[in-house]
Amino acid sequence: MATEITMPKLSDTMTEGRLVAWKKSLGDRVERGDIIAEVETDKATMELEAFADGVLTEIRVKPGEMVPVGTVIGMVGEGGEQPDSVAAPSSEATPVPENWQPPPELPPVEPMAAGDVPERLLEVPADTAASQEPPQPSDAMAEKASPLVRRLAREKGIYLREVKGSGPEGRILLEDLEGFLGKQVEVKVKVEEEAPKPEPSISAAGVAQPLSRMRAAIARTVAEAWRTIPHFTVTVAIDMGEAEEVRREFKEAGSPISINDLIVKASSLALAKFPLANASCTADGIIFHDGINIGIAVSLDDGLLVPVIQGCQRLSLKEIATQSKELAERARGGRTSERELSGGTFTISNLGMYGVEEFMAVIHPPQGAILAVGAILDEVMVRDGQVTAGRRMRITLSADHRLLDGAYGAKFLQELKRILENPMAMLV
Amino acid sequence: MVITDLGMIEFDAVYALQERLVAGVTAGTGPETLLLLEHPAVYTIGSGGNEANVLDPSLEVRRINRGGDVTWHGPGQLVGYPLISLDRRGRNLHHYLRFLEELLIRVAAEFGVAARRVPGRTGVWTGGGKLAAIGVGVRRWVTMHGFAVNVAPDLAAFDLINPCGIAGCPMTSLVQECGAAVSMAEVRKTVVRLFAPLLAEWMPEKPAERDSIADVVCLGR
Repeated sequence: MATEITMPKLSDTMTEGRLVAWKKSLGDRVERGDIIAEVETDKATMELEAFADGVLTEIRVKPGEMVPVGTVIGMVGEGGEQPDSVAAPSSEATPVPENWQPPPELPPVEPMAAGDVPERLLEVPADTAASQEPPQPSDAMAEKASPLVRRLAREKGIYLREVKGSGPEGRILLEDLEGFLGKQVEVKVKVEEEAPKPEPSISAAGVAQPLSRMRAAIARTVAEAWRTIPHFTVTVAIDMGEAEEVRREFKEAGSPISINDLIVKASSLALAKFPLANASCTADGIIFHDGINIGIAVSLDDGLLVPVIQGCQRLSLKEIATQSKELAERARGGRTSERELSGGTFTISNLGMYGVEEFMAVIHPPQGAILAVGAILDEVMVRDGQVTAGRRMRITLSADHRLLDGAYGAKFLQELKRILENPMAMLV
Repeated sequence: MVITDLGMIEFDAVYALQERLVAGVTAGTGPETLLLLEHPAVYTIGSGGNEANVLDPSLEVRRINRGGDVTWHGPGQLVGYPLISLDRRGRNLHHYLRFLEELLIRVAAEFGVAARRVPGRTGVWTGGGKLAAIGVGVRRWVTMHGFAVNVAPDLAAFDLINPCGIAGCPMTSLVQECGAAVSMAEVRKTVVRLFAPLLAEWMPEKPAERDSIADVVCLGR
């Protein structure tokens, strides 16, 4: 009888381990107690013993691969026995139950592209507003899924956070995506049948809708910015592979941080070196700000708020994560205080969770610059002359040309890129 | 628990000694042991380590059965190899790594150095960089290899590698952090004083000790 060799659970908290090396080859005789493989978790390796005599008939996981605890990594069978399931797909730790169905609830309404939003929709009744929690920036990349699943989801326009993963640790498998897609198509057809005919456009008829207080405030601010600040933009692409790794490690260590938190921290380090991006242009001249107070644009149903994380230069990544989460929650709950909205010296606006590749943001006066952050997407990259798949994010700096020039903006972004691609600098 | 000070000793010699002692702990015939020593300069890399982290291709790097990537050992660095039965102490490998970190954080604190963990980056860190590296191997739930804390080594040795696989990883030492002389003997004494009580506190031996040893003996033939 064949015996499964599985990725062992070496501690309470271990969720996955890496197969480092096979100590036996396919077809080798093994005896109970022999070391057959070596696995690694964190900074420790464990030698894996055979629990039965036999022959190593199957190797399912290659050296270097990371797999969830409990995954069958190989089989020990009896001598002369044919490998019994070579063609079978690797049975994961938690197999998909046969009767598994996609979640019954309707998928949430997809966020619309900015251009699609008719102005009158911004004044939604309170109850609908509450039911449509905007997605949190921190969740943009939280779902576990293979690059293939991510790519497919992107091609099909599916937000992975809406898909229930049935794999280990909620990992989203290909069949989950297919199941979701089937359901979504059904729902769409239904909605189309039931949807009432769109009302004729009010604005076309010339009936003005008064602006909400928030809309009026935004209108005033951006109009002033656009009229008085000569904007220019610079964009850079960043390999976020390492940063995502850091994020994953934080999560496993029980202190979750978001990609946006990493960007805030990295920006605070870069701003310290490029003070003109953390300055204000006034009639009396340039004011350099001592503190690095970074505003985070939080989208709401009827507009946006920009609560400020004060003194970022003094805060650790973890502290930034905690404050950012609190501020965003308070903003969404309508509990933001005046103080929390003031004193910003730089702003970050992140539309990555909407799959936006890149965009340009309007500076929040009296600040001198704003960073627009796009999604992290799988892209083909050339690294050391080798074509590989990488995780690329584009960020665009809008800057006040009175304060700084293109080359200065480019150097600031270069520094930001260097930090995000070598995220260790943010941890020590 | 036996704590042995081996002084300055070659990597290979200690490796052979570790293997012998681990066999004894596994079989229940030998005591758990902490080896304290210094190595003459040597680069080692964990089983799953990436050679690309050795920046100078002329370096000779020993591949060994521990976790983690490439590191350097040499004079001025206190190396500790605890050979501990995790089977008797709760079979929790990550908890053991956290215990080693706690030990080194407390040792650093005795010299007035505020060291800390960095989530997801096993080891001990200060604001100035990495103070101590951790790399463990486990065979039949008995640990080998362990930790290396920089007391007063020549940190330039780390420039030829990406320490622990981290490019540009800043390294630091107790001397650098204190800005004062710290002797190897003092640090060693501190480790000796703190190790056993902390181990007992963090990873107490389970009472069913005898049974589980019998288990191991049976599995290991």
